[in-house]
Amino acid sequence: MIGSTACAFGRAPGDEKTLYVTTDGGFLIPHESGIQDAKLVRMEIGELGWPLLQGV
Amino acid sequence: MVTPTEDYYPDHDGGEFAPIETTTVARWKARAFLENLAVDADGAVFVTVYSHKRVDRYDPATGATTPFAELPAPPMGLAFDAGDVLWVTGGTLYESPGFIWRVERSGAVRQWCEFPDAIFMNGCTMHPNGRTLLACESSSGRILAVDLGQPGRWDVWLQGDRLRPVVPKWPGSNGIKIREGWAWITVSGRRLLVRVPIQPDGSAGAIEIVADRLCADDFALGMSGSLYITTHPEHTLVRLDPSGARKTLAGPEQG
Repeated sequence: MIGSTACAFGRAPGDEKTLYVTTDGGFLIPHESGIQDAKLVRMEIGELGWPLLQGV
Repeated sequence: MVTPTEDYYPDHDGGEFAPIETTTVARWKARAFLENLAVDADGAVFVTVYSHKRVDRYDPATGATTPFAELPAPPMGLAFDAGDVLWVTGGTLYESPGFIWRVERSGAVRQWCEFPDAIFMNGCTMHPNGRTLLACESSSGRILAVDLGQPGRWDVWLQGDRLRPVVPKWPGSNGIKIREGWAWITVSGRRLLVRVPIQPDGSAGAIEIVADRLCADDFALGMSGSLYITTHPEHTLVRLDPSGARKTLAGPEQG
């Protein structure tokens, strides 16, 4: 997870406990291992996300 | 040279390191810079590709990633409104102006706001009133309130010393999300997580510190009250529980 920049919960049916993480691969601040590809990473996090539009 | 202040912490505490399984579902050949993401009502994941001046779309149903919209300047933050219109912050880092764009479902882009003195537009989220986008300007720390009903109309929603950068070029306010009447804001350069109450008239109350020694970029809110926080230069993902307990769920080797 080199250069982890942001994350958000999935919203598709069956995907609601998934956290998606964006990375820059070290584009801005390189890791000692060098600059990698930028990635979208999926993690099964075990809980639902808070709805961002609640109350809107 | 950093001038120490009461609300600046140079170190990061991610708690216990307990990595969980990760899967890379899409990749962009180096050098590429994904900065932010938002998920639409159908579950498609939209990411800003700062390096390519593009927003791309990942479809979890098919696994396909396709270009969605091209911007006239690099995009940074993303948020959907209740009508599934995509709102995008951006501009070239450390150069003025900053921008807000409105992106339709078709991918059509319309410039909505231009900020002459903004050089570091960043994370954004919908205000509970449904008519306003709150957007971080990281070089000043200000949170801008953008009227989504009228192009070019905006105001400063929140500003304060605790939101400002300390280290040059390292962001002040960075990510913002709202839960139960509070706006939660990461202040990356100070290693702080702060929050402010949203007053009945929609304005911001006083800033209070929630956590320190936390190198936080942007974040997501869990139903439990936990925050999932990306740490950019620390190359990790941290869970911060309502109790204050921390756990690092992914490190440089994951993903």
